[in-house]
Amino acid sequence: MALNLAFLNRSYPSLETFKVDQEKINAFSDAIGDNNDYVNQGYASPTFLISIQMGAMEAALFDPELGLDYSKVVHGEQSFEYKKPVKAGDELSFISTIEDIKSKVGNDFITIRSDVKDAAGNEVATLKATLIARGTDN
Amino acid sequence: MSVEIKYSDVEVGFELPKIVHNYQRQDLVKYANASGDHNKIHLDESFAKSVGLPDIIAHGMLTMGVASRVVTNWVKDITAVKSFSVKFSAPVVVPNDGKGTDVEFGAKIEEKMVDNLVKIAVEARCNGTKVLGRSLIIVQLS
Repeated sequence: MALNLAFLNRSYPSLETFKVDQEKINAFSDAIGDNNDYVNQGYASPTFLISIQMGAMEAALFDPELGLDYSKVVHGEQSFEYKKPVKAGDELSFISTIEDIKSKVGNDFITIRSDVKDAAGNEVATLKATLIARGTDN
Repeated sequence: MSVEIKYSDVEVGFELPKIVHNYQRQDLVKYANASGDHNKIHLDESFAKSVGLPDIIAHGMLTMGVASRVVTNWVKDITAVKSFSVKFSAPVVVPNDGKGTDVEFGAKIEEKMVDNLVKIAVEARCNGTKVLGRSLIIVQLS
């Protein structure tokens, strides 16, 4: 099933800021086994922001008009570029953009870029996620 | 925070200490709760099989998170980490056998760049199969 190309370049700003606190930082670092000192000093593990990116994109991913069969979705690629570390007390906002949509050998690919800023408007990070909806033949 | 490792002290080909991480079903539940990713392919065996998977598979992002530790355990300083990218090349299947699944993570300095930056290639293998494709972390040393 091909994805709806009309979604290409659509942007979804976060509707509310995401408040980073020590509890969320600890829960994430504990789940990946990161016990470095920076966690106790209030800094998040490098991949922490994924916990916000996926939630921020659900409005688009679950939109039936997009045509994404979420039950067939696996994660293909992920990247992070860091401008400043995420720490407890940060209030972050996201703009997520559907950067690429394509079909290849029966699978659908969608790439979402999320630009993250803090409350002062400073750039924090840019994330890119490529999700793959596996075709019925594989 | 500051990075104790000096750029001038490392060479291309240097191997960072390896990590072996054991994945069990309850670890996936814990990661789902911490990350907000409750996709049932990571939590519900009958659902995972109904969509053609061999069994429950781990979140790719759990593997990426564990992979980050190979580098952060070495540099210690989160501000040193400038970028991190991975490709997921095979799933980590987690059967309900009480033993879980071991994944071995390693990393090697691939390139010394400008501004004390080094490019580190990260690998992850499960039962001999690479579960990460080309995966790179760039860190800035002192």
